[in-house]
Amino acid sequence: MAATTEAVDQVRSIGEQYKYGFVTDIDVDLAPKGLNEDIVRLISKKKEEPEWMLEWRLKAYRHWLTMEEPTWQKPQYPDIDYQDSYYYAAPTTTEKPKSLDEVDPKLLETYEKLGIPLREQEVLAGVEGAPAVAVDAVFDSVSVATTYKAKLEEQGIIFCSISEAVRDHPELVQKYLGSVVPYSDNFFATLNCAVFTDGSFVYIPKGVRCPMELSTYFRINAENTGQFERTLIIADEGSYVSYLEGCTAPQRDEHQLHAAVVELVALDDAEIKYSTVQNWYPGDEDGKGGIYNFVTKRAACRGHNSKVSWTQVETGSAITWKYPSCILQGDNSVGEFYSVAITNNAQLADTGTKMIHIGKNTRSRIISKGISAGKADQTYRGLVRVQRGAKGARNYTQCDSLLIGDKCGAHTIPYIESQNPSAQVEHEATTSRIGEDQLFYCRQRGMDEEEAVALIVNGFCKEVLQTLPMEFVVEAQKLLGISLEGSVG
Amino acid sequence: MPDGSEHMQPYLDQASEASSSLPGAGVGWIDALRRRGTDLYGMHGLPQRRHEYWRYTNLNALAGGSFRLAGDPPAIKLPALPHQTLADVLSYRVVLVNGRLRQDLSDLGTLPNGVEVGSLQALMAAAPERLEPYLGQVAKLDDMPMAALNTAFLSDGMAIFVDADVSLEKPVHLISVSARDDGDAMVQPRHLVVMGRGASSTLLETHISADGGACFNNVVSELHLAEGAKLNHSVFQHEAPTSVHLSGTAVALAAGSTYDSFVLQSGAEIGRSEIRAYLNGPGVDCRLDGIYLATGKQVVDNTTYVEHAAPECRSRQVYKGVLDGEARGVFQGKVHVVRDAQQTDGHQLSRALLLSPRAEIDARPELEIYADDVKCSHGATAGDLDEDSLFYLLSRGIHPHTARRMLIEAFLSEAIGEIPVQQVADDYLNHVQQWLSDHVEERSDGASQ
Amino acid sequence: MALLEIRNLHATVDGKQILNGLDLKIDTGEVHAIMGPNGSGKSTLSYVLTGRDGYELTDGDILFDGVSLLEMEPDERAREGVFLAFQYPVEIPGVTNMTFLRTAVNAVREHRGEMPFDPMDFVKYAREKATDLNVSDDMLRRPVNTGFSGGEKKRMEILQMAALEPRVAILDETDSGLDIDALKVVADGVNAMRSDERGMLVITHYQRLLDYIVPDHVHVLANGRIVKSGDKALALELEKKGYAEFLEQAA
Repeated sequence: MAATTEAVDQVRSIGEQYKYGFVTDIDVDLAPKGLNEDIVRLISKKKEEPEWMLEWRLKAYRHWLTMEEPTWQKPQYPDIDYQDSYYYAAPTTTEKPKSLDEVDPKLLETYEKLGIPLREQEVLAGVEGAPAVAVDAVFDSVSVATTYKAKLEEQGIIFCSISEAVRDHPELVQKYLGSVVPYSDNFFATLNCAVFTDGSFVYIPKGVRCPMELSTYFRINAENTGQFERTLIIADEGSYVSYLEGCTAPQRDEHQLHAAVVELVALDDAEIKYSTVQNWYPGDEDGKGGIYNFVTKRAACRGHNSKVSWTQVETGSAITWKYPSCILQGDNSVGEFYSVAITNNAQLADTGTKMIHIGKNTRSRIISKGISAGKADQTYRGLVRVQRGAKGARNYTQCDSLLIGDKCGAHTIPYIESQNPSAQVEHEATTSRIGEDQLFYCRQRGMDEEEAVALIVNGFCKEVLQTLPMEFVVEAQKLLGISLEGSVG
Repeated sequence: MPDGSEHMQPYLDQASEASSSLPGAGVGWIDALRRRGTDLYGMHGLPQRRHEYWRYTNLNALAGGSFRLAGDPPAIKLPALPHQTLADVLSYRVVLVNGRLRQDLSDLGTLPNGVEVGSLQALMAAAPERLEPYLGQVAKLDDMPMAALNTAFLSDGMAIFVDADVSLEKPVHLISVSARDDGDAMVQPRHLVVMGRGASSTLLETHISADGGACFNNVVSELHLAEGAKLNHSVFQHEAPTSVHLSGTAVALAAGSTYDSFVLQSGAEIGRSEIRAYLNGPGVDCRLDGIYLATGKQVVDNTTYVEHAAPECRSRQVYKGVLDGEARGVFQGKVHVVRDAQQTDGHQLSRALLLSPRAEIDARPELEIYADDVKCSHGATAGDLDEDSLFYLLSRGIHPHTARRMLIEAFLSEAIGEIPVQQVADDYLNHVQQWLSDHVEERSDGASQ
Repeated sequence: MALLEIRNLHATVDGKQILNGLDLKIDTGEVHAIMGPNGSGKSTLSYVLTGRDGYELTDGDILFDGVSLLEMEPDERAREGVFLAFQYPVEIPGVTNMTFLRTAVNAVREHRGEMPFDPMDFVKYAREKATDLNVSDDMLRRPVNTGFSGGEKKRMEILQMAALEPRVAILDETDSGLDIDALKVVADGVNAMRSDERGMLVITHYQRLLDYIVPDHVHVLANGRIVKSGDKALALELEKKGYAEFLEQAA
């Protein structure tokens, strides 16, 4: 008992430990505050979008006006004044720089500080080194740099900002944008359709195995802005891609809204691995400031034998509210969801997944590890639906919650709907705390308390962490430690 | 109020009309309680899908408002019980027809000192002050729209008082018969069980229908267990397939008390058992178990809410069911551990077998936990029989249909084995066997192919 | 005609080739041992012989008294007299051993044209068989394998074999998880079942079991086929040298 109490007493402002809370002082091109059709038109114009794109945005905007903000989720938040925010903020360089040399040095410095490699590494034949990672860097509303584009193009892989894709690959964008998350899907997704500014676009051609990790790094910098990014990844037949997104924001007293939409499409025999390390500014210990992270992520496993695997490490944001989902349409398709969510201080999270089994012999696996400390509350909410025709479908779900201290909460709400007798759905969940015997055992072996707790928490999350791309495992482990710093380790 | 709300508050007028003529009218707190029921039901209306606890059970069958409040019970004989041994169990028998006590069919024998069993109506007339501390005190009407409706009609049912340290050797057997009046009958029975400190007893309930007509039976029971009291409670719902049977049970459990509940549902077009247990003092032991058997277009719903409001309590829930035809099973269960309810041990399990390609199970087991020194878990499974077990049986030469039947029966009997009263367990098992023979025997061969 | 003849058996599991042309003949009165390293296909062989779903036979045949087993369902094979003592006996909560045994024994008896036991007679029959294996009445009343120790489970497997009186018994790693005392009890049970009417196939990783159930023939299974056959001395040789040499041969 004493050990945990002591650990809890040490819970101090995570804000002090948020290492990415600085602001980049850079000239910004801001659209006027507020939201109306003119703003939507302005965004579309800034992006030099074709008419059909504008029409789609306007359709979404008009629909959004008829929608009510949802209230069913566990974390409630004060009303958001949608007119009191900027919907477009871009560093003043109007044109996207052709090469890194043209990028504003302040931006380069920012990414350097964040530890994001924007310079393509010289990869010499026969020299062993860390595998290269291609990065699309999104700063507020625009993509400021995308690395390794040329090298990827050699194999026909398209990796660019979604704005570029709208201009350069309209046939792909028109075919797939909104095909997984329709414009009318939900309040925040619909808002995103109207005002999304940038994000990444990936297309992997038939039979190609993407030779490097692709990643997008999202940075909110400007004040009073919302970030509405849009990501679309298409894996054509027999292809494979592993994609990672990361995100940070400066430390501010106001809440900022991040309402992204991510759509993944996997065709026959294709596989997409999508990893998120989410580290938006979480607010201070009393819940002042921090990002509202309201995100719609959904994958369509359209093809036979296709596979989508979501991995998320959620440590940041004041409120996280998202359910990366898989629609398993193709026969034998596979959906996976691996999640670690840590909430500390006043953070709230309502996260989980939906696995919709439509095709025959579809399989899904859900492993969710939630850790609550401080005064934080966390909810796992998941839906597993087996439709009538999903013969032989299989689901396994495991949700474990770990509570650190007696002021936090954990909530597990699985929805299980099965309409096929040959399907097997299995759900298990536990809630517990770090055992005194485990702590004592570690300490008896010479670890101090923080080390011991960090070790145990890492062990608790191991099943999920090991699904991350190798290069990010260490980073994620460190992040877990930092998030619980003061509280445990 | 959204549009069409009037349509969604059927029976409200009937409640208002009836209120002045119901027993106990004029007694201030009873009037107030009924009014509260009327108001809250008026606000909720019939529960809709957006009401989390009614997400999967649709009450459109009631929306037309065609059920009329049953009048004086018809002079029927006691129908055959679906379980003969249970009928023979030596018990204090209370028979209600359409929610009214029928003295002539009941057999209370000689009750021991300190035990009172009778009709709620009689008590409301003779000594309402005895009811005041209990009636309407456990069922949280703002969370239970159908209990609010019941309260609006509050008039009769069964009341049991067991004084402190009295142990009732024989079970009380409540036999509740729904019988058609002239049209489709609505019955709103209200039961009350008050167990004194250290008292113990067994309550059996059997819900059946007298004939094939449609009945809407909306039962609410409130159970009060004082410190150290113990209640075994077995409920068997086997109403006619045209009936709607909704049951809401609210249980207040004081320190050191034990509540052991088992619900077997196999009847009604819509059968719902909602149990809300409030573990208010330390050291409570609460078991909620049940099985369900459904076929045709039946909907069978088991909803539970267990609130660990005090430390060092233990709760266990195991619900298992078999769904055939186009039947739909619903399990919703929540374990809520409040802040500081340390050393809580809560466990919940829902398992469903789907025997037909048109059957469906919807499950939502839920944990909400605000104390860190707890052991809580839940599990849910849905699907077919375990392949390993089936192969093991086949590898011993057992025919496929026998093997399937054995496994289904074993699946259910495991839960039944937890019932503390042996005759009740035997009876329920017989019922399960009969049901399986009637409904799945023929086809189970085909299903295994 | 051999009691059990396995011809050129090829089988896959999840699309992976596990058995690669296995040949084996077992006559009545014989005890054959198959030894092999992990992953050589030992358990696959036992499941293919008993007809488990998911074990796909891609070539070859299994003849039992000259009749192919391939078209038979698992329960039909069992009633014909093919018995498998499982490496991991399955727990079936809610079904007592007594009910389970009686149902199985009666299914087999009816198949042989014998009168099924009534429940009372069966209790006597089962108790008789149980005593030799040190299986108590209490164990018979408990659910199948549920909460049993490793040794108890294996004793129950042998009890089932004794009660079902199969023509051919396959023992899949029956020694795994047993201490020496439990091993002796199980081996005695198996030896008591040796007869001129019956063949046995003992599948094992270690030689230890064969000290107690002495085989007439020993075969080495590697990469899905039999790479060497001999008498019981082969088992001792394996114990000394290990499997490495045979794996090389097979590769």
